[in-house]
Amino acid sequence: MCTLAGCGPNPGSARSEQPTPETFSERARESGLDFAHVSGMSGKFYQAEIMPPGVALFDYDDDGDLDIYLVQGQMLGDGTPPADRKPVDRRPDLPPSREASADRRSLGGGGQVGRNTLNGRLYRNDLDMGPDGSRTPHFVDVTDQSGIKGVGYGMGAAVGDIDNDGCADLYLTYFGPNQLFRNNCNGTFTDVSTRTGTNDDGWSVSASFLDYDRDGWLDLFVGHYLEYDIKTGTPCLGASGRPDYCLPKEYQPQPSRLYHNNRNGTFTNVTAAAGIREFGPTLGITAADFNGDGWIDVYVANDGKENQLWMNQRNGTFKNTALLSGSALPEHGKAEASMGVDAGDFDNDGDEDLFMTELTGEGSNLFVNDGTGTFDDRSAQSGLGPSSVAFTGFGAAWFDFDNDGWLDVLTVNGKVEGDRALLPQPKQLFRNLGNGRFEELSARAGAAFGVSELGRGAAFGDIDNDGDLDVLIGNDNGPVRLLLNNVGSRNHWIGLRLVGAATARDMVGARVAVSRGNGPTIWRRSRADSSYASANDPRVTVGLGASAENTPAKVRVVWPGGRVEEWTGIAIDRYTTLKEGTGQ
Amino acid sequence: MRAHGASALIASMLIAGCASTGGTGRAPLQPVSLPDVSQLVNAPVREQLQRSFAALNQEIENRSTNPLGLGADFGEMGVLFLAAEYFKAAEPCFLNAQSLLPNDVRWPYYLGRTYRSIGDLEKSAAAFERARALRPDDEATLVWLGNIRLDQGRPEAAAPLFERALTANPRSAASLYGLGRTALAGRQFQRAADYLEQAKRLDGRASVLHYPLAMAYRGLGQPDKAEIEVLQRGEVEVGLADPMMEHVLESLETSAGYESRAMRASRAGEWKVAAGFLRRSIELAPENADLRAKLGVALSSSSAAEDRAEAETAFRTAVKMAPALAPAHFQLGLLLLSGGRVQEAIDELAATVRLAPDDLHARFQLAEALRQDRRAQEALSHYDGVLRSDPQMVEARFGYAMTLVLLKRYAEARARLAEDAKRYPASPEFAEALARLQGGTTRSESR
Repeated sequence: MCTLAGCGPNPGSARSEQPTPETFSERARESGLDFAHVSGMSGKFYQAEIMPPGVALFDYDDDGDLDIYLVQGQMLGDGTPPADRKPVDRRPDLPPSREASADRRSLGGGGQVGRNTLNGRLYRNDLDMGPDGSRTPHFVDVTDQSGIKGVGYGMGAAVGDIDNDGCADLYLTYFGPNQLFRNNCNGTFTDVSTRTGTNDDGWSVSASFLDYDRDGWLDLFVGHYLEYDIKTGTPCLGASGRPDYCLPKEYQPQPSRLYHNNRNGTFTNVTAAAGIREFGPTLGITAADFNGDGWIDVYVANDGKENQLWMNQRNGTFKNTALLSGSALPEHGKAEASMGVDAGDFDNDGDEDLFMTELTGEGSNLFVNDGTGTFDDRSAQSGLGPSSVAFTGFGAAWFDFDNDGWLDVLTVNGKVEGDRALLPQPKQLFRNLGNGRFEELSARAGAAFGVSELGRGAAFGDIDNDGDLDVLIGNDNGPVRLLLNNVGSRNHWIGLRLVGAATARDMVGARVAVSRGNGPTIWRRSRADSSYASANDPRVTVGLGASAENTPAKVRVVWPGGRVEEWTGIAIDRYTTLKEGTGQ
Repeated sequence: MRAHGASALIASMLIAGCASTGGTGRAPLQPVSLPDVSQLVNAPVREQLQRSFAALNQEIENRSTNPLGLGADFGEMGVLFLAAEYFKAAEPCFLNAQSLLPNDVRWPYYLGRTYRSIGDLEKSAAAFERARALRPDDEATLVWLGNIRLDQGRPEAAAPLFERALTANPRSAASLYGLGRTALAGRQFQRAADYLEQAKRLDGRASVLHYPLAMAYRGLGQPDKAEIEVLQRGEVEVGLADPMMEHVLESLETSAGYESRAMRASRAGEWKVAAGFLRRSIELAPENADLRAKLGVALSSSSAAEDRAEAETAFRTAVKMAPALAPAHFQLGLLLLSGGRVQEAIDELAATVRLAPDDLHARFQLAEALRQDRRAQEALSHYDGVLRSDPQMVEARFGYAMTLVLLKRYAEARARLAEDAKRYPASPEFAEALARLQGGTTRSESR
């Protein structure tokens, strides 16, 4: 077997390296994540059951490693669980069968069976360092002592430091009122939902913290889904008259919300004032600067309706330019589902391109940015569309899994309607070939990719701090999955944590340009949003490939407020914190 | 499925027997099983599937069954499964039918549709290729295969398929749509615009055409034209004659099946037949407001008073069940207008425009009704709304000019009529109206 040192890719060349087996290893239970999501599927086809859960990666205790929050559901309706429920099989070596994953009668996870309520769970990462330098994540359930009481029918999570105290706060979306938990910086949280005014009722799925007005404080965009009431909602019928979940078009979309941070522990709903007056059933949100003017824009993925590209007008308002920009619809003109979404520079031309997951029969979409916020649909030509037509994708993100300098894609899949036994689907991994095309590596990426589940949320981050990106996955009515990356750390990389001048807050929205002597400049963005209903690691990891000559000459940071700074001599293969105001 | 395992086993044993005694080197036949249909709410459909599967098993058990007949039986079972969206169950049925009746284009065609529904583009394309070999000029096969090649990122393979379909049917809007998409994929924006404009002329209802056309104009650096197209975008698909799939849609005892038969009859101008099918469809889906609106449309085509009265009832029931159903308000408005009940028509057309502000046709009809009711200022506002989105709509330009006459703004009216008479020489109404106006006539003209 060749070692990666001997068969790494040439700098700046198209991809040629074949991944070793077990690119990713599934380690949830081994690491202490003994959690299964409860969707409450009771056979009544309550619409909310088929959509959760999201997952969150964030360093809540600021000890330098990623902790985890897992969203939980409940029984809906009258709360009567099915009589013939059975516990989740806890044998560690047994992957969940398709039947178990799709079995609405499975309950379990975290020991909540039999208790009156089910809560979301917070797990602290006590990263074990081995004598050989290896790192093994070890998670401890600290929910009870944290003060996070995430009750209700959980949908997703978003993370951001709302008060600039350097401690990441947690926003939870629900089928019901949302919750905002302020991090007290001592291992505990306080529920400030009502005080902040962000406890909007309704049905929300994804949310994003972003500084849209460049005042140094994180604002909040909450994506709302459908006007749906379980008292009046009834299951729809398939072509044959089989009861099933409804398509979103059967309900009215619920207006999303933009909250402005008042810098005093409260937020103001500025949706209308900001010009945001068009709404779809929103599932995915990604905030990025799509036209390179230094101001954060917001792309909203709507289920079964046109997506929206809210371009920041730099005066507190936004304008939806999706239609003429080519990012509202695929090239054929028909609205598609659009669940998970991410923005990233997959072609290394300096701008943010869009990837989003769709329903079985539709194929994922790739909209390529020309740098001005105008997009071309390259879904089919890239290979991403045709390879995903057979799947219904949810959580997904751009991430350079092998650290070769090109952004790859992982999607978690699982259907939402049709034959119950066929709802679970396997995950997919696509490697960027560096020429506008992708190849699917799922069959060679590890045993976890052969397991079919109802994949929903996915959070991407370096959980074991070894320099490559791992993936945390939430399955609807199924166990959480932790995919640890085994290959990326074998290539060189730079890890950056970008923090503010006045505070130690993660500066989400900041863009990083890594200039190398013999290759194109690589642009990446610090972000905690994107994917589906999930929160990602805000650190920036830039893959440099195998050659040591890839030591970067310069790192340039474009901060969210507009300041631009440079650093030279940044060490490779380790994390470095760059503080605004300390560069050149 | 356990309950039907025995049936599946019998099938495979006897099929193996058939293969060994009568085989002609064809592929071995696949076991077929009935999915769990116990959850189906629609009892007629459940019973139909169970009955048909039992009949198929009987044919399989009957060793004297002619293989050709058995092939057809497998195929029709597959048709029912496909109609009921039991795609996994449909696959082996069609494979067996294809094996026993290799020259029957239906089975590879249905396999192509089945595989496409589950997202297996490779198998779908292979099946459609087989169908194409059997019937090289079948428009539906060519268009479906062309669209799959586009989905696979192979526009160079798609183009000749659409071109062949267009040769077979020069009025194929679906082929022109495909050619337009092919040209867009190659960034040939002028070609794309040309094809898509042609498609639009052939199938004006296909609002899905507007978005790709907008992208073509955007690529040509014509943002104004792009914006006009984008404002008219919609979800109505391009029409494609597909008799084989119509058979599928009509095979099940479902509301959708009868609706499909009704649409077929409508296209043939057989409105009474269509109405009959729609009544049956409504019996099976009484909560479906859209069906009632369609029944109203079918009955509106009749001149018989009782049919038109039933049409009005159907429309009013539809809007009561679904107040936001814009097409029902619209059709009711047209029916009332044709019956001279202008004020009521205006109410319905105004509701349509409130619900669907981008529906230019509805706004135009509202303007016409307002003009007829001599509410000229309001009419003018709506004609203006139409023309801002589609400045080339000749009827709206004429209506605008005639409304100016109604408002006694004769100079403006003359100027507009003169300009449009030159711009649209094929529309004599401008010149005729101008002549009358210049001759001193001040009456409003109705077309």
